[in-house]
Amino acid sequence: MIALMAWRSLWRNARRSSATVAAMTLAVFMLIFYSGLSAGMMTRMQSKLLDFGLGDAQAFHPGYRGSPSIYERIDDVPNVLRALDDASFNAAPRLLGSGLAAAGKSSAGVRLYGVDLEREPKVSKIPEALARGVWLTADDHSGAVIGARIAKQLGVDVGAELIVLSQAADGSMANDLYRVAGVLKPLSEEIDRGGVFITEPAFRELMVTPDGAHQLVIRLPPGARTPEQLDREVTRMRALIPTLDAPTWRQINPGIASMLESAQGALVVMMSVVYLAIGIVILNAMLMAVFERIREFGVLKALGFGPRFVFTLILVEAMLQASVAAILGALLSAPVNWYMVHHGLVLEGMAGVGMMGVSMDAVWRSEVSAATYIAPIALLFTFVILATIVPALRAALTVPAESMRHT
Amino acid sequence: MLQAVDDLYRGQASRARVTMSVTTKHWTRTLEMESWTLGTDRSLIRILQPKKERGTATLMVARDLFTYLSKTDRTIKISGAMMGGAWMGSHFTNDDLVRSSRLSEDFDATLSGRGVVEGAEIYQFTLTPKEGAAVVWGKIVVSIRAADLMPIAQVFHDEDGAAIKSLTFHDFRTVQGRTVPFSMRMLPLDKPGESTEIRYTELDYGIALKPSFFSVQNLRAL
Repeated sequence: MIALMAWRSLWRNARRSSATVAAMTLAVFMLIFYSGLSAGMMTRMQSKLLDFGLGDAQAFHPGYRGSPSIYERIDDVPNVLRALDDASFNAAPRLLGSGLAAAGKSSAGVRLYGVDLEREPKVSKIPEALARGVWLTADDHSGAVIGARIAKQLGVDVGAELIVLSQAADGSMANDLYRVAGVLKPLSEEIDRGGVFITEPAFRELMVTPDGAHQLVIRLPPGARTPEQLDREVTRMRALIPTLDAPTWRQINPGIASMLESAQGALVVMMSVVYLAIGIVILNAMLMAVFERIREFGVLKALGFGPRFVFTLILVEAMLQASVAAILGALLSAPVNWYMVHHGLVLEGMAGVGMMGVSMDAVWRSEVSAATYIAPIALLFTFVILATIVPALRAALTVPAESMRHT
Repeated sequence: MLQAVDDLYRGQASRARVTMSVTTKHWTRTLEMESWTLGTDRSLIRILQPKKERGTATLMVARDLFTYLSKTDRTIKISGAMMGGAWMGSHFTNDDLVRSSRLSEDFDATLSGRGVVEGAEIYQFTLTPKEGAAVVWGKIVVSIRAADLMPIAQVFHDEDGAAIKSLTFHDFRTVQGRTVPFSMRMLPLDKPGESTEIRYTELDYGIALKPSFFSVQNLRAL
């Protein structure tokens, strides 16, 4: 009976009710859309970060991270890799070095990556992320794949000659001639600005490092998703390589890790701000409704309905409006979200722009899960209830005799 | 007096053979090199040994530095970030090479001390960068023998005043009327046990060289 009464009451001032519902719908719609976008951005940033360089975890010689040097290498790479393989962790060794690349009259400092062509694709998507040209091949050790910005800076493109200069591990002058096989898309600050990828044998010859590797990039089995599962996998992985320094990507890049973690919190804050505004609208509308109908509440109470009944009535009226808004908002946002997930927003200007060390894509896609809908709707109801308490109390506490004198 | 130091190694023209021994924590190596100089701003240095690097050469004309890489048969101009890099794997940077002959251009000198070292009277100068000079050092302390104005040491300090590396001169000999230290030693003070020593095995001032000898073409042809 209460629901029916509430529903009819709402129609008595259809314009006000629909204005309130419209405001709520707009807010729900916008916030569902926004959480999808935000989740899309965060997921994308994290997967880019992990897929294009960091991996889920890495392993180093214990002395490497403190003072990176070509001499601090993991010695027993084949056995380490076998141990990780057997425990179903994908891992790839990389040789790292710094040097200078010169082409024509320009030169620039670069970071050299000697990559294992067979294993690298199992841990990173760098081999697929070419803007132009092709990835390194095992039968051509003179090929080099370089970052987007370094290519621009040196003024080279696919096919161009690149001289790489460094100091080899035996003290000799390392220098060799490479041909640019491919230019990468904008991936990360580090790779874009100075990444030069060559094959592992090419690196070994250039830098006179016959064995070992500086870095292992490790991916955890894909099944692990929750923080507890991830922790367990990391512990299991570390137990396999007890002599190595094996930080997770969060430890390697704590800045981004904490930013991604706080993004969810930031979203709730933003939603709360929007709903606070909506809450004030509701408060105002409901107060108006209560004042207009004060005599009606007086009559209700005179007929023997208790304050709890009146309180509930007002609350139900508000909840009905919120429900309509939630349904409308969700229905409206569903096709928009569908579009944003499948097509995304094309932002040419964003392409390659660095954000927290990650280069953005031209297309910004949403990511939608149940939480995308549930969080904005749940918060809406919370705020509606909070905003209705005062008007509902007013109505509930109406004194019949006084209400009759109310004009 | 600084001019005198600057001119130390440069007669009108010279040809020399040099051995450079570099010791680091991880390796020790010795290079044999041949060098030609003309005046204070032209020099060409070529590696003779080890075989792997034979032919690799450095050309300095005024402040421009070029390196010819024999392995790749390419010449590159050293600039920007590369100036701070090690020259031929030694403790000398490319920048040291270019600047060492031109201290008086970049620095103001003040006499900061006199003393007696190993029985010889010395002057000590403190060199501070001139305004606007693009140098990495906060100051250089130069010690010069009073008797013949021969430099015996240069200590390079960073902008915070900490001593970073020291260059010392030894084994003074007279060649064709000129007194020349036949050996110099660079010690990186932050890396104990490491050093680079450059020593003349031959030095000849009696040759004639044209400025055109010091060209990028010749860098490769030699």
